Parts: sequence; structure tokens; C-alpha cells
Amino acid sequence: MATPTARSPQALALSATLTGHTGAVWCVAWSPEGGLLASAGADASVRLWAPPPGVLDGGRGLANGGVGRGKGPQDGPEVEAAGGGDGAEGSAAGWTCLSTVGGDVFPRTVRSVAWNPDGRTLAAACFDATVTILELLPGPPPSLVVAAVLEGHESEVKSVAWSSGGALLATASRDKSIWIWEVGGTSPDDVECVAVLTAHTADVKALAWHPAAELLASASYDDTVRVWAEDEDDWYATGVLSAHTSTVWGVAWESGGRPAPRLATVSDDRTVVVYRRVPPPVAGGEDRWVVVWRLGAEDSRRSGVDSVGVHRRPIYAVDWGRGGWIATACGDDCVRVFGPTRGVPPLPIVSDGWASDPDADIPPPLPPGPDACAAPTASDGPPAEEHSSTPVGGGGPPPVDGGNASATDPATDVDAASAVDADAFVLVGVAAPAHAGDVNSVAWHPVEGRVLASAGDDGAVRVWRLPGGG
Amino acid sequence: MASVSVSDNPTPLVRSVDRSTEGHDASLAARVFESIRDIRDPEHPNTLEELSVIDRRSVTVTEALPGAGLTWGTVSIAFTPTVPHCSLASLIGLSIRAKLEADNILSPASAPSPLGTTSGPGGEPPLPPVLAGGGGTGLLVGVPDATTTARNDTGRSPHGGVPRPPPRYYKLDVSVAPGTHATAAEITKQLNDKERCAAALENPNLQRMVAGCMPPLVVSLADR
Repeated sequence: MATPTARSPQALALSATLTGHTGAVWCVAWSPEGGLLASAGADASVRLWAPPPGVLDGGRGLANGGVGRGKGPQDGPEVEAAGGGDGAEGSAAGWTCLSTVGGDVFPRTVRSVAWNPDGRTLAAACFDATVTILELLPGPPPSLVVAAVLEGHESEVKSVAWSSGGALLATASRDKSIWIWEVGGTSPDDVECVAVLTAHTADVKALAWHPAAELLASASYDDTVRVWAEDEDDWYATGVLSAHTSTVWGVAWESGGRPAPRLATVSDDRTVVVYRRVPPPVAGGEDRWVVVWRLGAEDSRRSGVDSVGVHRRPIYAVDWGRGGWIATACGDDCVRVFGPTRGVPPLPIVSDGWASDPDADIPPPLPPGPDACAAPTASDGPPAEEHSSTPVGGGGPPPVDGGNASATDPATDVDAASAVDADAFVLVGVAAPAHAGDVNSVAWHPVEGRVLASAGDDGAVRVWRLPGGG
Repeated sequence: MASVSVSDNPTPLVRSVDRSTEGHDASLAARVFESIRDIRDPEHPNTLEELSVIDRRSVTVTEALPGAGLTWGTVSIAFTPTVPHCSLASLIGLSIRAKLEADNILSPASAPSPLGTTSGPGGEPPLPPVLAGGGGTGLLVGVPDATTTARNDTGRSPHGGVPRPPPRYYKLDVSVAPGTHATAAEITKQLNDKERCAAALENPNLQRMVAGCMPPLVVSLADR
């Protein structure tokens, strides 16, 4: 089987460095329209940042309270629009910190923040076991105020996530549980808990909602990922994904409106795994989650990823942007961007049964990828590995053969290998190093497909651009 | 966490440590060991070194891999709890982490940088230092000097042709020596989960216990 030859990955261009946090920054999150960036950290604060007017905010100049600046250069490369010169390292490049919610509100580390899709509220997960709902006051200038505090978890809250419609908020904790809260919508504090999910056997580290359906993925210290769905107010685990051999730190669904979004997961075991859900052949049958790509130290050569593409420390976060790229935040101080290999026919896209429109989708535009050698046709091969769903409280998930191409049955070796590589990704961009310490979070801009933010143990928040394109 | 008790191992084997015969060793491994050798065992009035929980060979330094474009090396510390079922092994591991953070041994502030200030080749002013530390203890670290990688917008390979500076700092792995504890793997896993460690060190009860293990010279850890 030919391995794709990878063109050298490009260096991510640094647009801005935002300083102010006085400890590790754990999380960054863009507002739904991308005009604001929120960050949270070990200094027990949440900060709200705004780019220079005309950049990333569709010309609305949010920092100036909506006074438009007309058609700014926001379509051009950030380095020109930033107004701070060439985005020189260390420069804030015109960004400002609009608001800081600090120690008077949070007694301990704020671990995670997530915006409601309506852009009006921000949920913050704190190590004091509470979740704070902050309301965005338009100002000008915009600021954050406390609207509600949700109590219930028994230990540190690690992650918060809003469903795509904004009706549900999920929260995850070291107490091994996930709480589902329903948002009434009349006011920011109109939030009540409707379910507590307790199947994980250790801390729940991260959460991610399906982009279209009320389907929730959770990542845990128990080395598994679980996918949860609801049936008449009862939440149940539709799948247990066990490709990782250590704590799963991050999980992200493919965005961009695909009817059958894949799921990317990253782990303390230094690997990235991408799953595809195969709908059950019979209605009401079990879900199957198939590993379609895996990147670890031993996979790098086969994938054509050279040494800088290999993660050298635990991977703390993953995000899948609308441009089709997967970004990872790693404890080796690097941010890596992976894109689909060109020339590899994708598996036939079938609706995963959860989104509303099962029509075949158009794959998102590919980044200028490497000139990959054609891989063997993948559409006919059986999946390399299958992970049957188990009912909640049922037996443990089947053991996984470490993601290697060599399946247990030698007769299906070639097919297994080709299926694993059919969705292969290659390293297309990298910032090495991106921070002077572990990178804890990466977040793709919701509108500008090549822009992403990162947060690190060095206390810095950075904004990057993947070079190329328009 | 369980309260301190001497019931796990009431009569540990204590060895005497004679420092008069030690030569001066400025290597990082020696400085790391110097920092942690006098940490008190939570159950006994002896140091970790006296109880053979750690010795000079417990510390392994691995320099940055050449060609990998990384600016950090690794310090690995493997310790041996006094008994295989010692219930306070996690506390020992946390104390080791806390002590090294407090002493600032693993950050570039304590290591001479051959590149001097962190100004880039374009002559920009030195970068403002930002604070580091997964536990939020405020270590001062310079922003990486890798301007040629971060600022390059021309698509040049980030890892070609740039001279490799020595590591800027060191990442720390703490583990229970394999085979020396009934749950060595589990304790090692949580000692290397920086989120769990950070949360634990924010807990006032645990902070007190860790402070109780510190050698007398260190009177307090960082405030948070």
C-alpha cells in the first residue's frame, strides 16, 4: 500500500499574543459569530477579548459597540488587518481585553468556558464544583456579569457545552457524572437540571455536542468516550468508544454541516483517533463506531506524517473547524493542524440517522493538500475495527487492537488497512512551539475558517492563521 | 485524603546520609535531587532519602530530541513508597511536584540561556515574560524565542535549517517505581494528570499536608 507523500507542513502565522492571565490558561472559546474571544484560567478568572474593529467581526466593530467600519479588510490575511504591524511575536496587535471576571466571582481555577449559540451567555466551569452563567452585556463596551450559579456537582467541574440549538447545557465533573440542564429561555438563570448521566467510571474531562442533533460525546479519565442520546427524557449511552489506552482529554465533532459528522478524540496516550458512526443495519439495532484514522507515534510513518507531526506529550484538546481541519493542543507546546489527504476517495457518506437531511453532502473544500499517492479504494473494505455499543451499565467495551492496520484476521489485512487510511489526514500546519508550556486548548474561528486561537500553561492566549487560501 | 497515621509502616528502615563525601555536582539531575531529597515522608520524621524512597538514581534527565523542534527536555523521577500498600504515595508524589515548582528548578529562569534576551532576529524589543505553571504558582517563563517558526508566513518548513538551542525548560514526570506498590500504575497515572494535581493543590487540606512534608527551610508554598 502506497503511503501518501506529504508536502512539508506550513508554519502557522501568529496574529496576536494576548497576555493578562497570571497563571495557566485552560480554555479559549470564540463567540458564536466570532467577534469575541473568551478565555479561562488557573488565575480564577474569565477574560473577554476583542480583535481590532473590522477584524473577525464582519465589519461590525463590536469593540466599539456596533459602530460599523464598513467593508474592512477582514477577508484579507490577518497580518494586514491586525493593525499592529506584522503580528510580531508578543504583540497584542490591536486586540483589547474588554472584561475580566475574577476572584470575587471564582474562588478557584476556571477550567472551561462555552458560549450559548445565541451569543448572549457564557457558561464557566469552576474547580469549586459550580458552573457560573455569565451574561454578555452589550455595553458598549461589552462586559460579562454573573447571571446564575449552578450547583450540584460534588467535585471540580471540568467541561461545559451547549447543544447546537442552545436548549441544553451539559456539564462534566471529576465526580464521574454529566449533568444535563435545560434552559428555559426566559432569563439567563432559568436553568434546571433534567438528567444526571453516571456511566463513566472516572472523571469526565470533556464534552462535545453533535452539531445538529441532541447527541452528546463525553471523554473521560476512564480511557473511554461515550456517546449519549435521549429517548423520551431518558438519556442513555448509544456507544462506548475505547480506542485509547489512557485518559481521553478532548473530543470534537466534525463541523461544516455534514450529515454524518465524524468524531475526533485525543488522549494522554498521545494519539488522535477519528471515528465514523455506522448506522445499525436494522432500525433499533446497535450503533457501531468505526475507527477511520489514528495517529500515534507508530502510525506516523504509515500516514506519511513526519516527525513534527507526532505528538510527544499528552494531547489536551482537539477542535474540528468548518474548514475541515483538525487542530490539536499538545503538552509538547505545539499546535498542529491536520487536513484530509487529497486524492483519497472518501467513504460513501451516509446519514448517521441523527441529522435531519440524509442527502449526500458535498465535502468541504480541501486545503491545498499534499500530492497524495492514491490509496486503494476504500469503499468496499470492511471497517478495520468496530466498537459495539453497550447498554448503560452493561459489560465493558470490547478490547481494541491498538489501532494498528493489522487486523486479527490476516485475510482482511489489506482491506482493514485501506479502510483505516481512507479518511487519512496529514499534517498541514504547525506552530512548534506555539507556547512556552503545554497547550491546553485550541478553538477554530466559527466564521474565518483559517483562524484559530490557542491557550497555554505560559499564561498566553494566541491567535493564529493557517496560511494559504483567500 | 486519609489522615496521617503511622500504621502503614511503624518501623521503616532508615539509612543515614553522609553529605560530607559528596562532590559538587551542578548538573540538573543533581540540582533536582538536592531539591527533593529532604522532603519529609508524611508518616515518619525522616526524609525521603533516608527512607530510600528516592536516591540520586531516581532522577533521570532527558535532553530535547534534536531535530524534533522542541524546546524542552524531560525530568523523570521514580520513587519507591516505604511499603507496597502505602496509602500516602500520592501525597509523596504531589510533594515532589510542589517542591520542584516552588524551587523553580525546571524553568529557564534558573538555567543560563545562550540566546540572552528573547528578542527576535528582527530586533523587536524583548518579549514581556508571562507566567507559567500548570498549578498556577506563577513561575516566570520567557515566551519562546522560536520566531522563525511562529512568524514565518512563507510556507517554509518550520523545522529545517534552524540551529537547535538547548532546551528552555524541563517537563516533569513523577512515577511510582514499577513493582513497588500495589497500585503503582494508578498512582502514576494521577500524578501525571496535571488537571488532577492542580485541583488537588488548590485544596486547602492537601496544601497543609504538602506543606507538612516540606523541609524546614521552605515555610510556605505559593498562595493559591
